[in-house]
Amino acid sequence: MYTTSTFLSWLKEFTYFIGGLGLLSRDVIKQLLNKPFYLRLTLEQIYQVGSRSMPLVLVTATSTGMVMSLQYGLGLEKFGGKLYVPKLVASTILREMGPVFTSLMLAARVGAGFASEIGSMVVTQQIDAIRALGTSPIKRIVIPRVLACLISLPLLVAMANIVGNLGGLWVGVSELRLDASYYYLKVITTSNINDYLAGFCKSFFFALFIALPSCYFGLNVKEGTKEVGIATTKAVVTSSVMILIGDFFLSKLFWIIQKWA
Amino acid sequence: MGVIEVKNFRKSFGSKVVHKDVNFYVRKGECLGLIGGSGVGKSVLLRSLIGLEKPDSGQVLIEDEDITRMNEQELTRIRKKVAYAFQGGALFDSMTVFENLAYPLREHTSLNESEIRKKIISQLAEFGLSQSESLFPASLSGGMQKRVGLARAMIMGPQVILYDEPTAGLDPFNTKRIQEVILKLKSQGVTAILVTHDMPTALAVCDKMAFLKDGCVVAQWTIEQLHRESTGIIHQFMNGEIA
Repeated sequence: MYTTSTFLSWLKEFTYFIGGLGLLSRDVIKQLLNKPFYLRLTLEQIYQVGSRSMPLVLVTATSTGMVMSLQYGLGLEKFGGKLYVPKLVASTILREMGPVFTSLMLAARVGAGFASEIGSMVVTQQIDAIRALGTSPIKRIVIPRVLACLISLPLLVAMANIVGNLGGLWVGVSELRLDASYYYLKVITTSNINDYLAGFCKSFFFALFIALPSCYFGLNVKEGTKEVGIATTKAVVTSSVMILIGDFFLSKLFWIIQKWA
Repeated sequence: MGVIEVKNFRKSFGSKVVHKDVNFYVRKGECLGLIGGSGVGKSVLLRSLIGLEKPDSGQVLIEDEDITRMNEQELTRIRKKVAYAFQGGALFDSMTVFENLAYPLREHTSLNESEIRKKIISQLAEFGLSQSESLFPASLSGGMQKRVGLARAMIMGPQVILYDEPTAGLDPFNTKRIQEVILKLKSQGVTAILVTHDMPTALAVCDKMAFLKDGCVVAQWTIEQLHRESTGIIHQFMNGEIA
């Protein structure tokens, strides 16, 4: 009985979420096309989302590249496959680890920030005040955040790709005793533009998976500060799950597109 | 008939029916005091008058336009002429007092920065808030936040103002100051609705009172009637005999 009612309440919440996200996306698209456009607010968000996330993203990418290089090296050494480490590390970072890890880091840092900030604004009636003063919270709050994620995330992914490969190169040289110029050449000759584009294009979808649910949960806070915490948790979990599930389908989609092309 | 007209207004939250059938109107330049016990839905009703809440059924007419059928973009037009003074001020905490007051002016007028500054400085002086323009809301007292919120609501020179407990938590001096501001705006022809528990203020500034109980307006008296009669449901409420 308990399981059924829990499932039903989850299903109801999920349906509300899908509908709400759809309506929010519609409003964002509709209002993006109308004046005014808040450039200063968008630039502020790009600084918050992009510049201030850079240290976290770079540390994560370096560490991921180093660990992958080490693990591939140790695993393949037994079969004499150590020379494949540069290619494996490069294509894994470009196609998967770069975009996915960067997006997950951003979902935790930025998604939580969006949901808690917007939720607090709802609780203190600041969102109501924006509306009461004849302006739109979608324009002032949501659109700058969505655009900031769409602009910053692909750039952060590009940086993570470079730094991740540098981390891999460092471990390849220092731990696996590979020649640095060999490692570099292997990365350049075996990775192609498709590897890069597959990961890069995903980052635009991941940006939406972070910004929209986080804003949605923030805007739907109703019953005080306790719900701000719940909304923040929901935003991070939902964004992360959407990134991980979306990654599979997007990988499949890009694979199909590449086969056609 | 009136600048504001509420007809057969019904609003519920889940299974809880807050308003069953609310009807009233306010003529141009009039100030209506909306009174009632705590939790009867005075603020919900006030929020519905600028479309912050949607009724389940009924009409809210602002200058003969039914705002219940309007979308957010259409409501923007209404919200430029109907101001809402929030109970706690609802100030933007990432902006200074000056920026809070400049917000509607920058959004809806073509005034240049020096004109905006001049207007804000004089508005702040009127509310006894001189020298506070560079402060953030967090460093203001509750009463000051409330006054800044009122100053922001009034800065555009609206035709209608909706006051949500404007004097709650204020000292007698500032209460009197707010009363004077409301009376001054009234003399300029501004229509107002005042939600309050502060009966002396209501009696000082309102032209009539509507008493909200059990989801309906159960009594609507002019101030003259209130002074003339000594019994009745509004008197009972004011004397603390009923909730």
